[in-house]
Amino acid sequence: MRMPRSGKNYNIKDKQNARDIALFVLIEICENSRKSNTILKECFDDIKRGGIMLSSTDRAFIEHIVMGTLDRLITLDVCLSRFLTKPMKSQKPLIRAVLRMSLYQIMFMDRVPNSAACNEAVKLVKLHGMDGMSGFVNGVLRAAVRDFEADGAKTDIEGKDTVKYSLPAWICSLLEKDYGRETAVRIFEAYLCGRKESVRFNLRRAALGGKTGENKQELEKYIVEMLKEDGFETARIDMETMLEGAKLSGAHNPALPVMYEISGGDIATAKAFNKGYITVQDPASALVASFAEAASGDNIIDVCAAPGGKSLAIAELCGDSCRIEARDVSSQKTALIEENVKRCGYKNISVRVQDALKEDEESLYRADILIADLPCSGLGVIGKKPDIKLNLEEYSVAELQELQRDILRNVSRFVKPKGKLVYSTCTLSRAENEMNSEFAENELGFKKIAECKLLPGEHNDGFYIAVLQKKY
Amino acid sequence: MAIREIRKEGDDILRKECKDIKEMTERTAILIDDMFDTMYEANGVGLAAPQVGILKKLFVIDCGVEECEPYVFINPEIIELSGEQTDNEGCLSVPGYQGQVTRAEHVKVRALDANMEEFELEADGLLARCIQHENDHLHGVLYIDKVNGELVDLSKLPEEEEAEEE
Repeated sequence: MRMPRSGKNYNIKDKQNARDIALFVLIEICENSRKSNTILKECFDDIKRGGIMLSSTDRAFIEHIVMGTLDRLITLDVCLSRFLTKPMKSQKPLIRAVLRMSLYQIMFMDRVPNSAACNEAVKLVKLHGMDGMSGFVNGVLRAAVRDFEADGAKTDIEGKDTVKYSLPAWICSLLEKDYGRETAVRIFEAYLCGRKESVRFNLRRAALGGKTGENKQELEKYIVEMLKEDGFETARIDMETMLEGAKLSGAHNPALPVMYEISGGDIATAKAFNKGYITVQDPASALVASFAEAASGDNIIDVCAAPGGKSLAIAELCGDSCRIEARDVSSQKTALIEENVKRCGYKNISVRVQDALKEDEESLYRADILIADLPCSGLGVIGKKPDIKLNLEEYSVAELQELQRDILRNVSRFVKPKGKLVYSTCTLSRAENEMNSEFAENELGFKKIAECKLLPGEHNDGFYIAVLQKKY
Repeated sequence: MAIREIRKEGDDILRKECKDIKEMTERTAILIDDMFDTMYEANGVGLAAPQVGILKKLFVIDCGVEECEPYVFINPEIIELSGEQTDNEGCLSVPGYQGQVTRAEHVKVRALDANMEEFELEADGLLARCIQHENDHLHGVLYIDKVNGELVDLSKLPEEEEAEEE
């Protein structure tokens, strides 16, 4: 028998212990292929609905354990397997998860004493009625602590990139092939350097919200103050420098979005968020709006738009004067766009369910600008979504390239003669980026006028943007 | 240690009656090990011998999170069923689907363990459901024969959405 999806064998409302919640989330991700960001959010929401208040420290602790364990999974498994007679994949799912998250605390969380990590692991195993396994877990973890303190696994870890950076071997070789050794290593390191959340300021929205007439600096200050009142810390991101380092071709100086790094709590609770003054977005993705350079009166179609960040960023940069149609394949996805559009209050964005692979006669030659941020392998966002390392297969890159080309073949026909196609992905493989721009040039009648590639860094995801102009 | 191929719905072998196991042989012991490996690899909580193409009265169960021991059931007999539970169920031989099945809440079963020693077990809830599901396999019955209403195509369930970010 297989457990049904969203099986009810685990009641989240009973869980008040942060490590036990982390364990539950980790099992859902590793064994039931749930996505880290959705299951974490769902789990926190469930707990709130169950009437239990999790402190923000607990939340941060749970997130740290879950995401950190996923970041280091391959390294952890190699260190653990030194003390296991059966391989990790033959261990019980619960034991596997307990061992991984406990060794993560031992190796990578300085605040947690090693003995506490072992004791808590044993408690968790007993809490789940597996008393018989507690000796085994204790033994393995204590051996792993001694091994870690004596640097016993050093040669195992340092010997191979895949273990050292906890990255599937095929991703290591793909990046090395596409970027050369030195840059590839910088990317491997960036994946592990921690994640910061960033938001884009909707200054136009703040101006409409009763702050009319104030200049941009004042509006920006006003939003920063508002976030500060809610207990958030902010730091402005230098977009000029970011773009300088990323531009491959195209000599224009686009208007840049106002981006801040933010920390100190759940953004969804911030007043500035609920008023629509900020949108959660990575700086790299917000740059698509800059590259689009919409002019007043332009018709813009954004295909595969959910959750709508790029449409919103364009509406912020060029005001009411352009018309934007944001589309996605299902009503679940368009609902996400609608929610964000409503929150930010923009009137010039319309939302529609439309499959980007399907013919759409009405849209032929209608778009001055077509935004195509397409499904991709996500190699640029591994730092934020480490579960990509668990789920992505090597053959997916070729499959995704084919999907991207099928979509481009269809939606490129919506572009007016001399109109622009802004193609972007949050991945790093040449197959899905440069090679698709070449495809649009060689087979779809476009000419590349600008190109930009961001490698994952301190402030941004890895991202690719190409602006292609239709020849006729 | 080996992963065996799981037979899929449509394969005649899943519809046949299984035979008793008379003695523990090396082949059967290896089969039991392989069935555990195959079950864990496929993220299952139970697996019956006909699902790996062997028509013997044997299944293995490990409900993971709640129960502490993996169980081996040889020549099982269900001797008591009572109560009722309705919940979603899936099967490794019917990938991509799930469906609601009503089963007994409580079950008492007599079987032989891996050492061919007789034992009796009383179970409720998930373990009881799993025992009934696996025992059906030994008699050529699949859960899809018992499903209430329609089978649910998992690929048609709403996709998980990205929470908030691009």
